[in-house]
Amino acid sequence: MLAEPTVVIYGIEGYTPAVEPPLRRRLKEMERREDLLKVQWRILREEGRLIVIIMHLKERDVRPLARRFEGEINSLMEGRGERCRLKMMLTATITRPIPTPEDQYLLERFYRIVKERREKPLDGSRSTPEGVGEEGLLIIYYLYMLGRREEREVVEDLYPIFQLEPSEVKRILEVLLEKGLVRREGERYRLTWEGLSLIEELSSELFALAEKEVNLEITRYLLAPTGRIEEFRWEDAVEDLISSGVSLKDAVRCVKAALHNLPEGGYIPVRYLQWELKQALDALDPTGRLSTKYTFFKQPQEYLTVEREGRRYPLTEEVLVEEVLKRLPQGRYLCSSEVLENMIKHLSSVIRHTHMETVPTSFLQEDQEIILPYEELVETIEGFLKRYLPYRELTRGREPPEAAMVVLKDSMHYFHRTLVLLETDPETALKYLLKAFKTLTEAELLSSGVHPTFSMSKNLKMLLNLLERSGVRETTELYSGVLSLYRRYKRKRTILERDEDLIARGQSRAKELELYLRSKGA
Amino acid sequence: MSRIFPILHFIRDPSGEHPLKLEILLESVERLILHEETIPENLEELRESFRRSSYFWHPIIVDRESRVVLDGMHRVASLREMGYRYIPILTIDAMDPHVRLERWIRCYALSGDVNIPRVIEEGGFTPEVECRGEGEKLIRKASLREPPRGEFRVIDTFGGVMYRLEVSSEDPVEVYSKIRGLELTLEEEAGETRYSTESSMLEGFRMQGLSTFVVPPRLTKEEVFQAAREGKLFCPKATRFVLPVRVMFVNTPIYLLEESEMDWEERNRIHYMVLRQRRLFKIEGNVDIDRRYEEPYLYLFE
Repeated sequence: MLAEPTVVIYGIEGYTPAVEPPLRRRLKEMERREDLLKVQWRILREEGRLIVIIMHLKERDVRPLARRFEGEINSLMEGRGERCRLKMMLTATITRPIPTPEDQYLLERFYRIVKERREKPLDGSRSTPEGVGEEGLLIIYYLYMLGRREEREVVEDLYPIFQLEPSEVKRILEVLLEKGLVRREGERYRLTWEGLSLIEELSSELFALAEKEVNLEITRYLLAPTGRIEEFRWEDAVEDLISSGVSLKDAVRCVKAALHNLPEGGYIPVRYLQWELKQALDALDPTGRLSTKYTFFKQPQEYLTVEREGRRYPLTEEVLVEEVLKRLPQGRYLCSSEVLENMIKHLSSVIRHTHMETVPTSFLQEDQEIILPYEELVETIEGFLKRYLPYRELTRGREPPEAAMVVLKDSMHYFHRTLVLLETDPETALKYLLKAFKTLTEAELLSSGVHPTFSMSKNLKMLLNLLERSGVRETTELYSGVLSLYRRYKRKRTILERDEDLIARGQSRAKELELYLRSKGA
Repeated sequence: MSRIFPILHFIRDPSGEHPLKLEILLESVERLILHEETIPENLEELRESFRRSSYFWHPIIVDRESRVVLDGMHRVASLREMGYRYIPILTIDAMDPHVRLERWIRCYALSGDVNIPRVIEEGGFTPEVECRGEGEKLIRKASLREPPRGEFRVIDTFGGVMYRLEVSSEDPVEVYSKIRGLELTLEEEAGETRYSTESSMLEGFRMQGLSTFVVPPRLTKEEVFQAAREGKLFCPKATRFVLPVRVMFVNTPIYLLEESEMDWEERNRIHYMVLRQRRLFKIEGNVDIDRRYEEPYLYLFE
């Protein structure tokens, strides 16, 4: 449960659509600069007149933040000559902490399993005290999860899920009082030791991870909280679990258990699936370590916080883009948005995996932070870039022909080694050949002012794309052949036939390129 | 699995805690009954907004039993015209004593030289002076005491006069239709009609330079529902339902409202699962967001 939060709603009257992109950018900037770690904002266009931003913060953060927020956004508007202004329209403290969607789901799940057990009782399972039905157990579980509650709160919280009428809740609470499972403290009800021990025993029995037979091949759809629908791939869920440190066998078991427990129907709410998998992991590892790692794996940006000169901000994708762009050679070389996007994806994955080992072993709280010192982040990014963009240092301050020539020399050397070893050691010769073409491709890209990546196939595709536009048929054919060779090698780890022609064509192209680069002053 | 998102909201009143049931669901636009005419310009504005948006933000409010629309007439009409099949609704028992039916006051900023009795006559009524006095006193008096059935009032603060106007009809729809005629006549003089709540009338007089107020007669819920059942439409801004609570930001994806092979059950199942994955805040109301929300409580989806 979060601390009691505050909702803030801002409105911008008289806004024009032109305001929206810079506003979004500024909000994102502020999000990381201003410790807006737990602020959730969104822009809604309602009836073409208004933008509403809802912020969800801790109460103590509201005032100072709101002042900075308003000041910044309004100066942005003024700077752009816009007539609209941001105005805080509503600050309201939430009336009381309410169960989160996850709490609600777990209650629903508990009730479902309790009801199933009534139909199919388990051997040797603990019997519940007489007169305490499924609804009684549900209220005990609710009090177990959420602590002391007033009768009205019990009704308000349970009605949206179970439609339990107020009179029914009242009657059940009286029974539970009578049985000594709950007691009253003023207006509030809380569990007695008896009630606590009953529910702990019962829930560990109910939620044990049993082997479930589930048909994984049925088409199911994932449903996001935004309403977006996409096909569910159970392999992806298994992969996520494996990345969180679960064995393949256990991962499949957890996914099957989760699918078995999810409500029937072709749609799987994304969050329900995550909560189910967490429960399955907790059953597998009651210390909570696995589910903690999984939670982190699914939403690392929710927890990773960069600390720089005493300030903290979440490690969002925008932060990574900014840090990477700062380190790319500017001006002479092109780094396409696709390459950048791919790079950020890999980098995020590297950071996520690096921190998987340091995730706290206790359960992650929603507002818990995993601090990542800025220096450490820089070190990770630098290390990653050296691998991802191999010639970053080489291209710094050098003209493209000059940088390409350095790499081309390596390529020519590798071609020579290939020919020397071709008869005596074909396996090593093949490796040299691939190195020769890898560096030749990189030299070609550098000479065109495009920054190569660490991936040979990506580089080849970029080069072929460039060649297609220039219409040089022979060279295009050469590199298409190289791509096919590389794919064969990746698949079989061996060459299927000797292609001396390809070697000769590669060498010849390297010489052509050398002449060209010399003509350009390299 | 349930397809309807229910909320049980407690209202504290002298008799104790009073539970009010609310339900959020998608409903066929054809099943909903409108009780007011719509304004073409407003419809066009809404159509434009729906064309741009991928979400439908706030549910319209509907009486659970009769499916009479209490709030959101224009949104229903726009979606119907655009060929949408469904709309997110919040159902409530309109007959619950905590659901109040109020009226909209028609307000005008006229210059002092406009001859109000003449304008009233042009609007088809015979003005009778009910009382004279200072503007603020007249406004307070109009709120305090209702005129007899079949009558309504016009306050002219420049002249310091409150007029009593008689409507020769028992049919509330016709009464409001005649008031609409007067409204249009006054609009010719003032340029526009502004609609205000009774509690904001004084503020409009003091702060916004509003000088003339048409205070229509109060309607009862029964009159509104009877008319709706008979397929009659009141003029725009005839009713103002004030609810004890309102639900906002359901943000229903537009694809769930479009014509497709998906049936009612499936749409509602998806809608329900979308809502259940989001946090629901309950906050104190009586606040301005895009307009004033007088409801004491608001529920907002994250």
